Amino acid sequence: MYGSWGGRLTCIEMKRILLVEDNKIALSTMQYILSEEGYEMLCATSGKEALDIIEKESVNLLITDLMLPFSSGYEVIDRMRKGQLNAKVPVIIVSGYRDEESVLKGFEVGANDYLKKPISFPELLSRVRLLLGYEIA
Amino acid sequence: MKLLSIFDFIFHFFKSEIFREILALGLVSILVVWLLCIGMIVLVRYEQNHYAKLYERTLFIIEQFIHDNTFTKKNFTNRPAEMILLSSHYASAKKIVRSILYEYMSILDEDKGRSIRDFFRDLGYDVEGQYFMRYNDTSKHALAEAIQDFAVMKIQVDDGLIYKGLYSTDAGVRSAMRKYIVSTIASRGFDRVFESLHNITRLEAIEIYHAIIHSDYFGEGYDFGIHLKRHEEFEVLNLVLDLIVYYKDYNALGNVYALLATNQNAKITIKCIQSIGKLKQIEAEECLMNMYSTCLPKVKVEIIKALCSITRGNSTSFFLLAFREEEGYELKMEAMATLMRRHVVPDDVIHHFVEEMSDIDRSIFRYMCDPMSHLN
Repeated sequence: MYGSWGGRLTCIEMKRILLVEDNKIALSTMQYILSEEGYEMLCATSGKEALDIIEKESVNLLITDLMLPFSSGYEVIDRMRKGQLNAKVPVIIVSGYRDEESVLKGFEVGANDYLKKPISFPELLSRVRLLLGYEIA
Repeated sequence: MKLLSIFDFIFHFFKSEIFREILALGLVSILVVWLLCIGMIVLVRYEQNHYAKLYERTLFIIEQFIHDNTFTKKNFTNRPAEMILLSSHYASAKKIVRSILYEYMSILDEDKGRSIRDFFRDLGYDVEGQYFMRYNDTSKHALAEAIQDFAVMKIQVDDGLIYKGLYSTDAGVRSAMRKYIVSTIASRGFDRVFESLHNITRLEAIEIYHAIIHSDYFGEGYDFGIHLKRHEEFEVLNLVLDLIVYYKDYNALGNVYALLATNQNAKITIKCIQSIGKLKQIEAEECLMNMYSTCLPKVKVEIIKALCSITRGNSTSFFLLAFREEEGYELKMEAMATLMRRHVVPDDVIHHFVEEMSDIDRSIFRYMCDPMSHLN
């Protein structure tokens, strides 16, 4: 299986990614890119919706924005880490906040990676692959 | 008798023709007002609905087009028929296309972002912008929009237009031009932006701050501190100090100390102290402690807070003294809170200290140890 951004994916098991983003355009763009790469996408547009999915569905990776309606991205990560089903799932924060405090707070609540907007999609994909344990041949 | 005549007058008034006419007029006016309100609500709802539908439709077309052409690495050669809609002259359609493409440009970086910028240009926004920037002096809103378009398309404009925009009488145009300079010329244009800052509002300062921190400048090479010497207005100095803190520009600390020593405005003094505190430099301790004794109580509180943020500092004895000597509760509490947060005072020193305290000080100390205890 080849990704459209180059590199051969040696693992063909379909991984499930939960994408949380309140901006419709950013959501559809990331969803398009990741689903083109063969990932199964679950999408949420608010923190509350994301928490509902996290409680019911098992996911392999969470990609979240920080500014979300109802619950912030930090809260989503924190609640996920304290929950049962997806407590150990890797998390990538994708946010327009570039300051050190936001980044550090993200890591403190349990994020594994932090990407600043505007996003480089090849970079996002390589980080996703890394966190999902893919090997690129 | 008088009361009876009043009742009689009222009774006759309600029976008269005039009352009927007033009543009828009142009812008709109420009906008209209600109809107008309903009409307005219907009109607004229709507009919103129309805009939402047009937005959805336009977003769908642009999304498909961008997905097919940008992400699959094709060129923008074959435009679908629907793209005619995007190039249409309808003001609302243009506004929607602009807002959608702005969103895309804020999400996508470098290559993909450039494709979207080219697409934006292809749709004719640059020609329109050129027209508004050169020949239109009546609609300031259109001019500001044109400058914003140029900023996202990263098109260079000549100095004359930049000057005209920066010193425009319209705040929207000035703001758009500052954002244009920051996003296209980056740090090379900061001087021009700061030079043009006179009588700015808090909102304008916040806009400039956000434009700079979201630009491609990552904090190397530009000396923000120099503007602390050149300006005197609080909003400008506030903006510069915020940027110094954001970029952790330690080289600017000398200028911050100089401003702290020379200015007479308490607001600026407090802002300088807060900024020094956020930069957390041990060398700042001496400067702050030296100025402490001559300051107003509200400035003293800020000094204590700033010293507190310098977590590995040498000011423990200073805090103990401040706690013992000061009279204001706020100061005492800040000093004690700092000592407790630092965990630097050995228990026996604290015990000895507590024994010597006055009753009020002991209450404050107890409160800081356990906020559930009452200050009595």
